[in-house]
Amino acid sequence: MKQRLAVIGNGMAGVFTVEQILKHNHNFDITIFGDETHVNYNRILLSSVLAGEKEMDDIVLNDIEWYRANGIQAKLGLRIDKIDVAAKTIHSVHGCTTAFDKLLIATGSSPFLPPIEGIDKQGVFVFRTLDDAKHLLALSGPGVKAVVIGGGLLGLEAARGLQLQGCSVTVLHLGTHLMDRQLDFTGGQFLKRKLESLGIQVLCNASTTAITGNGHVEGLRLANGAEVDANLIVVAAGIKPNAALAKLAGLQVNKGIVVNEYLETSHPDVFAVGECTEFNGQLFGLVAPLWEQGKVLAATITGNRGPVFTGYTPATKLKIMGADVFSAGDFDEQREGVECVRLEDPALGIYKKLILKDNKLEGVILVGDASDDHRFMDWLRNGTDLAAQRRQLLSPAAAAGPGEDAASLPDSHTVCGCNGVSKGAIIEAVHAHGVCTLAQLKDKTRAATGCGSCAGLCQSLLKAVAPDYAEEKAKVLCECVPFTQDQLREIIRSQKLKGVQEVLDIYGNGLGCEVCKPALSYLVDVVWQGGHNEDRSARFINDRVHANIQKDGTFSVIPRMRGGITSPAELRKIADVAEKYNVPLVKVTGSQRIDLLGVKKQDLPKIWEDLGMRSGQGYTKGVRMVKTCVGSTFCRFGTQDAISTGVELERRLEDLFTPHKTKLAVVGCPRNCAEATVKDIGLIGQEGNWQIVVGGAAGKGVRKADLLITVETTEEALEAASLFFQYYREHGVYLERTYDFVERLGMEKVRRETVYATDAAKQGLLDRLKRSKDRASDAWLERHNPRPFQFEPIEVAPNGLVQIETEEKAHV
Amino acid sequence: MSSSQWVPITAIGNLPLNEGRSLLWQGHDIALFNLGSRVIAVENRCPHQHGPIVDGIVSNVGGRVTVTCPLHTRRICLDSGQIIKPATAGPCVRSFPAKIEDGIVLLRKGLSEAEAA
Ligand code: SRM
Ligand SMILES: Cc1cc2nc3c(=O)[nH]c(=O)nc-3n(C[C@H](O)[C@H](O)[C@H](O)COP(=O)(O)OP(=O)(O)OC[C@H]3O[C@@H](n4cnc5c(N)ncnc54)[C@H](O)[C@@H]3O)c2cc1C
Ligand code: SF4
Ligand code: FES
Repeated sequence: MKQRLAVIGNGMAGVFTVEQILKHNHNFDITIFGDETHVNYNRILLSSVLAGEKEMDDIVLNDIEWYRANGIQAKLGLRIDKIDVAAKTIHSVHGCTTAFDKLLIATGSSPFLPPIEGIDKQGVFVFRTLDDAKHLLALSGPGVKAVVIGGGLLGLEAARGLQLQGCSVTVLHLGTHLMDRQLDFTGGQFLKRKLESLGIQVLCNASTTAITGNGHVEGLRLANGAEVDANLIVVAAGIKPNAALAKLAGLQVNKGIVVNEYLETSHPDVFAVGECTEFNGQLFGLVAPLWEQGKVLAATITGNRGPVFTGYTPATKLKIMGADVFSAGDFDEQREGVECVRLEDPALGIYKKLILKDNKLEGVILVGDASDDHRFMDWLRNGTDLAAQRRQLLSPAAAAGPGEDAASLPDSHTVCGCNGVSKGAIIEAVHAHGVCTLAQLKDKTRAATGCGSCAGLCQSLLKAVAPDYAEEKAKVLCECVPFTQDQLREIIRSQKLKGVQEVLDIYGNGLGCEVCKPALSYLVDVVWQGGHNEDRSARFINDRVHANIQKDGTFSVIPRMRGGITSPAELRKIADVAEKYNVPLVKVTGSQRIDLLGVKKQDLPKIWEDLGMRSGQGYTKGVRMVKTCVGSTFCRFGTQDAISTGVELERRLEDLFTPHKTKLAVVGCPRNCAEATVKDIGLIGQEGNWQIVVGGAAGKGVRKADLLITVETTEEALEAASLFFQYYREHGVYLERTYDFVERLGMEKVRRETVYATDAAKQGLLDRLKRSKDRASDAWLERHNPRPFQFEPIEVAPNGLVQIETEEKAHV
Repeated sequence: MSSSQWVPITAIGNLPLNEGRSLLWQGHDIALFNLGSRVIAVENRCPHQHGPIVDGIVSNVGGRVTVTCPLHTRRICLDSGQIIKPATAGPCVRSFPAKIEDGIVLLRKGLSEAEAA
């Protein structure tokens, strides 16, 4: 019988420990819970992400494949809020309960927020997670005045990142010098000069007493009365272990969860690693000791209790190019019997200091050049006797790296750089035009419609100044996977999830329902451009059998009839099929095609075979028809060839799925006989040009379509329709018709991001459409290889059994 | 009840995972659902307007395994047969004893209405 090991915390220490456990001969069913939605990534490199040196995808440590290959269940985006050690269960905020035999707590730590007045204002951030990094990236840019509270490692890395994104940055530090836990005063001064030469302003002895601003931050007030302007603040004032969960469960907790040298907590079946722990009064803020903990714990928990954790020698490296800092050990030179060896070169900005006792290295500080840190670390760890090397202790001293270009710091208050919208213009829009949503702001001022990176800032501004600010509500898909569809698209893309079940297993309750399964089926299809793993159990019955279910459980069959064009031969075939299968009703539909109603499920593949026609997708959220009028082919008013254009449009888009059904029409003149002005996409021929209209409907409600663009040639018209079509596929919410879609986004934005987008953006849309189209095929081709079990009921002879043999499994 | 009354029906591999498949057996239209670890057999008839629940999506409502009728999205608990969303006190879907043994789905033979109740 396998033991259930639950791990709370999908971070660096927790997952590292699991990796170590896998190396042992273990007997665990492992489930990892993490409240971040991402797979395990390298938190340390968030600084590089913020600095633009790395992409988010670059810092993944264990991708989904790793979890799967090792049989580990990952439950992500799920926060645990209770541990019941007596019942041996853990409980999530969504109310789901998981039983365990052994529990590993690896909840890390959280940023410490000092009790400063106004710290809850909009525009105040922390820097701990990938999502934090994303937010900061989205908000930073030229013109942004950023202030970092805290001149420790994290604060300085955040400062440099923000500055590289174009912000003007000030660091406010409470202590007498920067990184005061890792550097002496001189080292701190060297570092300060270095950072200032990179263009970062540093204020030491700066105690922030208040964050000011009306809703959104506008500045900070210091204890000495000084005021500092800011529209973005990052608080990096230290961390505190996430130990509340353990404390509530009755485990022994001081500042962190108390663990012994075997990483055992006060309960025999509960263990802890990482920044949430406290060992011998020591807390942790760097990964090196956590690796040691992980190895020890893996031994303990797999029944190899023996190795012990003994604490660690702190060693820190600042990851700012051009401002190298390394510090390790105890650098207090006032202690009895210690010697100090130092080098100071103000011109090069290099400062090195070694603390020795009895010819052994006890502490080291390197600023400006940390290229030989390994050597010192070795000496420190191994307690090397340095008597023989006293003459070369500080050599070879490498030259300082090439000076970093100080990023230029423009002085403007422009919020939206792309469209040159100032903060003043935004406030004007709010006061004079009653703008209160981001969509309205975009329409009014064009702010945030370029690269979009200022959208967050605009939103914060709106929040601060618009009395009726309405945050566009992000609705979660459903309780089974409590994320918005935008988040899910991002999750599916970044975590490389190709199937519905994977999304449900990792981000949901593992089962799903009739609301989320079809939506997720659509999302994986569109994100992977048809390269997803199709899961029929997640599809509505219509999409399993490619026909529309009727009130009596029979189905209707609507073959494709592009542009409403048919032929005597085709009509004859339809008539034959109707007779052969006793189809109760043959009807011309409201969409210019023919419907065979009342068909038995098991007859479907045979009917498709006999018809030899394509599926009309009348049963699915996809491309229905392109209605056409006769146009210039026969009509005396026709100005454009509506028939061939409509047939071509249908040929290009058929077999593809859309957030909701998509209906199109092409008419040869503005008399509009095929009702193009009330279709999702309509092409209206005129003398010498085509109008492309979108977002129309005459269903539950009637909405006249909006003009997207007017173009001269038929090919341009087809391209414009394709651009809008793919854009809707990529941005529409599942079950959102185009008439809601264009209203939600605003035509202004739709035009700008489709027909008036850059050539590269347009090409991107067309390329992705083409990839999907290349992978799509006529659903009724399944007649050649019907999915086993799909159409036929099981039949059992009265006396015995049939079908004990498994039916053919292969299905392509 | 002796085991001889259990009748083998089909290999579990013939039932798609997390989907239903219909079976005509002893005059009943039965919906068989393969839930991976177990198989469930219920009458293939929604209490609402007799929809073919075999064609529904297998779902989860508050931790209960349900099937959603394809016609008007009533959610039916596969264990109790009750419509649980929207909650109704009305009639249940009748269920039939079913089990998997050595990869074979078994149903119980000669089941009378009284036994089923
Ligand atoms: C067969 C057909 C009626 C007919 O006999 O002509 C039809 C039949 C159904 N329509 Fe329709 N619609 C049909 C043309 C239309 C049209 C006319 C058109 O396409 O030009 C409209 C108005 C245009 C539009 O969609 O904007 C139309 C607006 C709807 C709506 C309302 C959509 C809306 O958002 O306003 C629904 C309900 C829905 O989609 O949620 C709907 C839903 C349905 C469903 C699929 C209901 C369902 O889910 O079972 C009907 C299936 C009946 C069945 O048992 O097969 N049908 N339906 C037409 C099939 C067209 C085809 O060849 O594919
Ligand atoms: C920007 C940055 C730069 C850094 N640079 C360095 C560096 O250069 N060198 C270095 O050694 N260290 C660095 N660190 C520190 C290092 O990242 C941490 O020491 C390390 O990640 C700690 O690992 P952990 O597993 O204990 O915590 P984490 O990695 O934080 O993992 C804990 C996880 O548990 C999750 N969690 C918490 N509570 C719950 C709950 N109740 N339910 C579900 N999930 C929960 C958290 O969201 C988190 O994902 C840096 C940290 C940051 C933020
Ligand atoms: S109008 Fe109503 S009844 Fe008629 S086909 Fe459409 S959905 Fe069915
Ligand atoms: S018949 Fe099942 S919900 Fe209406």
